[in-house]
Amino acid sequence: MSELTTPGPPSAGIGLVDGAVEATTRRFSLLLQDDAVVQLDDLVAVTQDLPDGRSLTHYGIVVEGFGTIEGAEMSSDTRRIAGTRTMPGEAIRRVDVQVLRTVPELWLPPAPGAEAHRASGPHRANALFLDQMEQPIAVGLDQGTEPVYADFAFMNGDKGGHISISGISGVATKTSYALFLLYMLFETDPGRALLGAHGPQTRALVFNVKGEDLLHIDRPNGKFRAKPEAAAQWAQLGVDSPGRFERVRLYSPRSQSSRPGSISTDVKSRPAAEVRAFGWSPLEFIRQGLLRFCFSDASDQRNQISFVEQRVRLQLARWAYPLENEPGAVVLAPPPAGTSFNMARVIQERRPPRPAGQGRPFRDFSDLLDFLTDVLVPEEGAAGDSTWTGNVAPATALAFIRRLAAQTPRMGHVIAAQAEPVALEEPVTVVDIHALHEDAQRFVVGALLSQIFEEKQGQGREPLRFVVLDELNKYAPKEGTSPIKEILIDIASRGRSLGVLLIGAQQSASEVEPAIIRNAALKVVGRLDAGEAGEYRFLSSELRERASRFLPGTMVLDQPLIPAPIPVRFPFPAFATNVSEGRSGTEEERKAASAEAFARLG
Amino acid sequence: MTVFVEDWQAAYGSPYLVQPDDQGVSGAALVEDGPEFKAHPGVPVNGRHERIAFVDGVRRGEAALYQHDQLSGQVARGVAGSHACGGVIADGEHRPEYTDQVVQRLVIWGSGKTGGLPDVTGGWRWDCRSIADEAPEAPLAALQQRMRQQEAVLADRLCADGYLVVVDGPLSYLRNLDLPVVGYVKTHSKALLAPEYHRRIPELRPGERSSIFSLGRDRYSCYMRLAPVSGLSGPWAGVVRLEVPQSAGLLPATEVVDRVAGIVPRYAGIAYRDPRAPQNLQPVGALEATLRHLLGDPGLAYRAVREAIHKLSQVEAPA
Repeated sequence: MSELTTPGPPSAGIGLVDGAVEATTRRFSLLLQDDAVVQLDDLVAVTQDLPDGRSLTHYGIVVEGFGTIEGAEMSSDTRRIAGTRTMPGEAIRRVDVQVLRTVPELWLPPAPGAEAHRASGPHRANALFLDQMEQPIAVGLDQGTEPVYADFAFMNGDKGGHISISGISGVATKTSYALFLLYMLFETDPGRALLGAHGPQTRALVFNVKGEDLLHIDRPNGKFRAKPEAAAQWAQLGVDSPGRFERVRLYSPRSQSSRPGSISTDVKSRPAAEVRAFGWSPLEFIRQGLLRFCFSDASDQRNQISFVEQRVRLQLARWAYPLENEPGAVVLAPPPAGTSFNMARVIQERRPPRPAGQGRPFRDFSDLLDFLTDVLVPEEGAAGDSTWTGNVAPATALAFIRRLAAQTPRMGHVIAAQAEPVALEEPVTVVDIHALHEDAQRFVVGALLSQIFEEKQGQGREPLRFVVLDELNKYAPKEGTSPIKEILIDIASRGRSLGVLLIGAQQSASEVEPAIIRNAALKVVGRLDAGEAGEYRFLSSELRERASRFLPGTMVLDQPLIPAPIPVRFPFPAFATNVSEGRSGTEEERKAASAEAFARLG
Repeated sequence: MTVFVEDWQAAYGSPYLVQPDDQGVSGAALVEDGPEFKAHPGVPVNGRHERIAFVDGVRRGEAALYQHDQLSGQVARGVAGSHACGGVIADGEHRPEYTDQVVQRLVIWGSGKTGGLPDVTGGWRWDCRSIADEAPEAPLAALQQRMRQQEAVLADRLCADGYLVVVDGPLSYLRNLDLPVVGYVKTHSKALLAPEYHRRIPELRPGERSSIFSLGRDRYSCYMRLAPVSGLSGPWAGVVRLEVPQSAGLLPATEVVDRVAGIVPRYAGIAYRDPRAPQNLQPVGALEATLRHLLGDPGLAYRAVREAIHKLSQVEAPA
């Protein structure tokens, strides 16, 4: 924590606190000097001497600018003053300033008529509460390309955790900003210093939901060199040689068309050897109780299906034996007498493998569907096995089977005996789910989140687990409940202390469970849909309106320490964020190279 | 008989106050074209023109004061008020700018009485003046007179600085009657020329001025019609009178009048903007508005006077 200094006189004056407009403890106006250029987001300082002899400095951020010609009472006067020049009038420029902080902390308005200065150097640090930050980390640049900091203690779960990023697709650059934050943490010296002793064990799980974009972040960005300003911006952030994510493991789901036994993926933009196929073996599927994530649609929770699912999930665990000589596969056979009905206890049993003949083998999802059909809805109208159905009406059991059957082509392929589970062995793990059906996406996200959350139970906060998940509204919608929404709410409320930190993104915060947004210590907003802007109450009305005009790369950052949201920009990434950036060099560079090659030959 | 309507708004009265039987003043004589009355077309200046300065002042009585002598029963009157003056400089190319705006706050006692007011918080302080006149309206008239004097001082200075100076009102207060300074008179309270010439003044067309006539021994003057007028407006609509010092002789005076007559029409007041348009020129209208603004809030001024008198009474009659 740096010391709170009371710096000497700041830079040259930029204006005076307007006395024609009331100055309050929250807002005041500045009448600008003729030669001052002051724009939105600029930081200003106003110092006054109090009657008791103390000196008080107000720090504020410019939130709106105004211009008018005094003396012009009618619009046509403007023409006379500035056009035909027959009437005198004085052009006035004003800015409105929102108070960020007073030093010392006194609840007084600034003195009308007091001279305002640009808050630079130590004044800027005061304005942005740098002295209050235990572990500052640069999270972007302001308009003047000075770094803006956030307190890592509000990102790592210590004082707060979770980051919520909102904005419309395409221009809001939500994922890019999430990756930028990860890069600052995982790939820069200041970031690694913040992660400290647990740094090497810290992990980030990134879900890729759009194209194969994030399957390239381990490659340098071919378009980086075409953006000369980007390197300078990175340098401002203290990153001298930005580049790719050095240690990344890429996962894509086992291909739907893969034959039994094969584990290829559908990824087109990377060689097969560079992307691992992931899935769950039947044994893991049962032991982790992943059946619940097969029914993660909000509508599934409104009927009895969830009741059947709970029953079946437990029964599967009780009936499961490892299949002899086929690691991961399962034989379903009646459990020994006296087997517990407590899921936690059941899965702790170490059962000896059995040969296939001793029960029903479960090697892939179809096997499971067949088996459950037999026990739940036997043919000829006979009632299902009540130990499995829990005595629900046959129609409910049938509904369960129909729902499960519908899921088979959607997610069945990620359950296979040979499938490799996702393991967070590298600092950054990208799991590609973009090509999966929405239900399957929920299954994968739910399964992985519960896995991470389970692993961290009782382990303490560090090492940290960051989870980057876009389209949060799909997984934790405002309405309804689902197992995955429960997990996300759990992470939002308890993840802080467990060190599971969600970097969630969504088009509109209004569509996401409020508890999740509320628990995010850092709220970030990119370009907003004009109709949506009303939902973001932490933004001032000016910022809300402005956020609907943000260009890609501009975000507003709201953090607990600073009472006003601060617009920031982040530099163009030096790691590839899509296929074309992952290629070496830009189109132009390659064309130029080939033209030069031809010229040499000719 | 044709019916017209005055262009000025009713609250400002009429700029033409000449009595029907006014025979003109004895000291006025046509000099430019012999004894003849002629109309001289103006030469409008477009684009940039020489640096011109418009000078004007405002004054305001803010509180009427009394001194009451309990022994004699005599009442002496005074006024607390303020006056301001300033200029607008223009050259047709750059944006017109205010210059030399000065405010003075005075207490003026009639009947030779004296006595200042203590300062009041908020920047209120008064200079004290005394006049012998006992008439009730004399202190306010003295305030007006001081405003005119202040205008004249500024006009002299701007003139010396090389501006073509147009002062609002007649030239009566100018001490130094050097060219180029021009008085600009909006209202006509009496006929100056003999009736046979006076009735020809409405013949002036927009931009035209009359032949120059002498006015006493120190001034030349002429009428001019500033701007086109509508068919509804009266015969004297938009007619102003210019005054120049005689000291430099007729030819230089004519030359200055022509320069001013070429420039001022473009600054004519706008009907919907100014109740005294077109005679009240745009720079002058704007200047008056700012000067009035600079006098401060009238309510606050009155309150400050009361507070000062209250302070005074406590000093004089300690408890």
